[in-house]
Parts: sequence; C-alpha cells; structure tokens
Amino acid sequence: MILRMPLTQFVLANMQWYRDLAQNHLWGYGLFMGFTAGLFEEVGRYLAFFFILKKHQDWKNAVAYGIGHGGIEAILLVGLSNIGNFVTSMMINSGMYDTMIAQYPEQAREVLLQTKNILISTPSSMYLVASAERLFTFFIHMALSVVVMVGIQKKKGLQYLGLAILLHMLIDAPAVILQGLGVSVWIIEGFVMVLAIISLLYILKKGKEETLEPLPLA
Amino acid sequence: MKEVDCMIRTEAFIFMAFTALFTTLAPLIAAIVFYKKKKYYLGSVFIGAAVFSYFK
Repeated sequence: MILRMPLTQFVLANMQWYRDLAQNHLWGYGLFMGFTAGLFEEVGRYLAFFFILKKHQDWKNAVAYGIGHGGIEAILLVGLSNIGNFVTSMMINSGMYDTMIAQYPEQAREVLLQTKNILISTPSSMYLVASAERLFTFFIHMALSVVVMVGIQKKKGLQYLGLAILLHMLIDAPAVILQGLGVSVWIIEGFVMVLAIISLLYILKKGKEETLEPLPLA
Repeated sequence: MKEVDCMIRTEAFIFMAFTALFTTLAPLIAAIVFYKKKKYYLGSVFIGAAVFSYFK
C-alpha cells in the first residue's frame, strides 16, 4: 500500500513503456505484475523473518505471519470495499444516491454514475467469488511464508527467497493473463483453488516434519 | 453517461454482506484459533500485516 501500489499506479503509469506493456502485451504485463508483486512481498517477508522475527524462526510463526499477511490483504482489499459497496448499494436502492450525486459537478457526477452502473451490472455471484478467492490466497500466503522460513532455517535464505518470488509470479501472472484473455472467472478461481489445496498440503507437510524433527534455529 | 435503470438485487446484498463479514472476521478467527492451538509469538501476525501494508 505504501511501496508497490503507489509505484505502479502513480510512477509507472506515467511511463510510456509501462502503458504500452499494459495495453498491448498481455503476457508481458501479467508476468511483470506477478514479478513485482513477488519481489516486493517476498523480500518484505524475508526481511521480516531475518531481522524482526529472528527469535521466532519456526513453522508456527511462519504460518502466523501468513495469517497476518493474507488476513490484512483480505480485510483491506475486499472486506472494507464490500462494506463500502453495501452502504452505496443501500443508498442506490433507496434513491439517496441519486439525490446526493445531483449536487455534485458534472465531472464528478459522471464518475459516481459509473460506480452506480458497475454495482448494478455486476452479477451477484461475483461478490461471493471474492470471499472464495480471499480464502484461497490466504493459504497461498501461509505457504509462501513457510517456503521463505524453511530457506532461512536451512541457511539457504536467498535461494528460497528467489523460489518464493518465482512461485508468487507463477501464481499471480496467470490470473492477470487469463482475465485478459477473457477466460471465465470460475476457471480462474478453480486454478487458484488448486494452488490453495497444494499450499495447504505443503503447510501441513512442513508442520508435521518440524514436529517430528525440529530444525535448528538460524 | 447513460444510467442503468434498475436496482441492486437482494442476493447481491446478501453476498456483499457475507463477503464483508467473512473477509474481515475470518482472518481474526484464524489468528485466534491458531494461537490457542500453537501458542505462537503474537507479533508474527502483526508483523505480517504491517509488512504487507508497507510492501504491497
């Protein structure tokens, strides 16, 4: 919210190569967005484990970190926006929204009208899909935290960081690319669900391994 | 802009409310349940949230 999003929305969006990439090169754009998401989030994860959580480099704290990471993402990106959508929708159906936007200047009214039209035309099921997607990404974040933590425990932190960035890119990029290709949202969510199941199995496997044979702390 | 002349459906309200509640409460419940089971360092959750907010 402080580093990557402002960088992509306010800095890169003003650069011609980025605009060209976004408009004309779907695959390149998807891979680039996936890579930057991986780079920022995984480096953040690595630094947190390496410097701040020095005394807590184990499986349960990696999972807890993933809960915090995926949890705040769900709250900020989906939870709060759905609370806003709910309130706006109530205003639309009661007629308050039209009364309110009538007082705004023409340009602002256009934007607010667009918001209203989006809320009305979005299929109801799409609001529910967001819940499922957050649940799936929650497990993915926990698994990526465990990947980075395992790397630190094995004294191969940078190699595993590289692996986590690559995995993050391979998870995020297809979502952008498939959406751009017009693939059904259900197929995309199905893909994310498969990744979430793999993530959950990995988390449980690593948890079991650590319980049976604790790794030395880094 | 042409205005879409209809209202938001009841099921959309239900799904919005469910998603809002689920995505805000589920992470908190998960953190509490996992803490009760594994007694992890509580700072891990908050650091995860803070790092995401900063690096995202």
